[in-house]
Amino acid sequence: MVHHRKASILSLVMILSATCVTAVGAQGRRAVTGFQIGQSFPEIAFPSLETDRPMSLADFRGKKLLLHVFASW
Amino acid sequence: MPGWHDATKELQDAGKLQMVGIIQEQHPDRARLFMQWKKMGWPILVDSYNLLDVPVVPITLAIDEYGVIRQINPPRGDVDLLERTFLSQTFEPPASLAGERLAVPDLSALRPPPRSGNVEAWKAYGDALAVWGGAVRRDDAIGAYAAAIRSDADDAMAQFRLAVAYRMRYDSDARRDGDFNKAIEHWANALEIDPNQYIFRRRIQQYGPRLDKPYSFYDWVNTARAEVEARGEVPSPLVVEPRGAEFAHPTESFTPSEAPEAEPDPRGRVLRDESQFITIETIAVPPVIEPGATARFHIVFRPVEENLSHWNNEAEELAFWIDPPRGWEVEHRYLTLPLPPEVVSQEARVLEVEVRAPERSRSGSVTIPAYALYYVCEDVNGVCMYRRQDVELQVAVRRR
Repeated sequence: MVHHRKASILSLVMILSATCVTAVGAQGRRAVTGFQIGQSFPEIAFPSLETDRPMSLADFRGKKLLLHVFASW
Repeated sequence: MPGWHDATKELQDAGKLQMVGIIQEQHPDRARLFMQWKKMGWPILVDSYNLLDVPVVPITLAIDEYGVIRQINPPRGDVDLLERTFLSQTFEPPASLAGERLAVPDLSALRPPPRSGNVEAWKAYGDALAVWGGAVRRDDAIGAYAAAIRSDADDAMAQFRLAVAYRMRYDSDARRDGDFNKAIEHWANALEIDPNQYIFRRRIQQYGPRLDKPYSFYDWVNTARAEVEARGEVPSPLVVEPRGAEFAHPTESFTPSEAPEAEPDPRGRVLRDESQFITIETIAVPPVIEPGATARFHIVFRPVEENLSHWNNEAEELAFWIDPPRGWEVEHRYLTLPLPPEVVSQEARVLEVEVRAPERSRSGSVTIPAYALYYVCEDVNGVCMYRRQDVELQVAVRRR
């Protein structure tokens, strides 16, 4: 019985710890990149590098994207 | 990123994955050369003003068919994992789909906020002008961002975007005196307000001293051009050639020259040019340093066009002498610039040199005396002269 209670408490602590780590990890990621999983990507139009015409990610709706936010340096 | 491109080439060709890029770069044309070099032909969107408000690059996002972010920075190049956890997954549309792409503002109908407008209103007005107004509306964009800062001087993004606009004007034919200095000043303000913003930090580091550099920013450019030419292609042209600080590699210690350097005009006998023929602009990056830290000076020489001034390239090269105050160190006290092959020319010339403040510096503005010696002609076939111009290199020291 005591063993069961200890095991239950231990499990609870582990679950809470895992939850906290996940939450901190998610928040940390958000803080680092400014984005959050499950969030819609901002619908902002930018000039195209090739044509200078307006383009946004909405132009690729219906496709799975790998978006790279980068600089050449 | 080229790693992702190579790893997903088959998926891209099969139409299972679309690659897209958004560049956070002052000079987008350099990204165009980079893409050509790496044979990456996918669409690139330009965000020099960081409208996305990202604090760092690179960031890779896996985005589903509905525009929802499903993964942030997936393990680089792990295509199997990406296929299992993203490409083969079926995602439900979000409860509320984002609306249509925001229309590009009609600049002819765009009106400035009222004088009492808040920082957000002025920033939004500036964004529209800066991103979509091009060179024609750049002065208005600068005015809008300046108004945003008057409304709230602690708005880091307004400071950053004002700096981007100033540097863009500096790189254009519409350049005004002080544009580069103002860009550096406002980038420094932005970083002071938000020291965790690496996009701000990188813009200063791009032009700053080697001790502060994380890496060489554009050392890849010459390699890229050579490899593109070797493929039989014409390298994508650059609007502004990278130079000096942009090529410089980081260093861990400041090493002043120990070789004896002879002062070229110790008695000040050479006749002075009071900016009649050549103007000299100096920019300290960063403008404020701590004791013991380094700053990189950009010293820009421009023939005065109204006076038809030209460099005389048949004589000796341009020379620059620095007389640092006690305790200050310089990389070299005596610098020269190589001459171009033309007999006469009218281009801007730039010298870059780094200085180090003494460890026991007091806070305050410091002036480092220097002078330039050069041969200049009144016109293409006019009288040529040897002239000296005295220069003050100014930087501020602040103890924390």
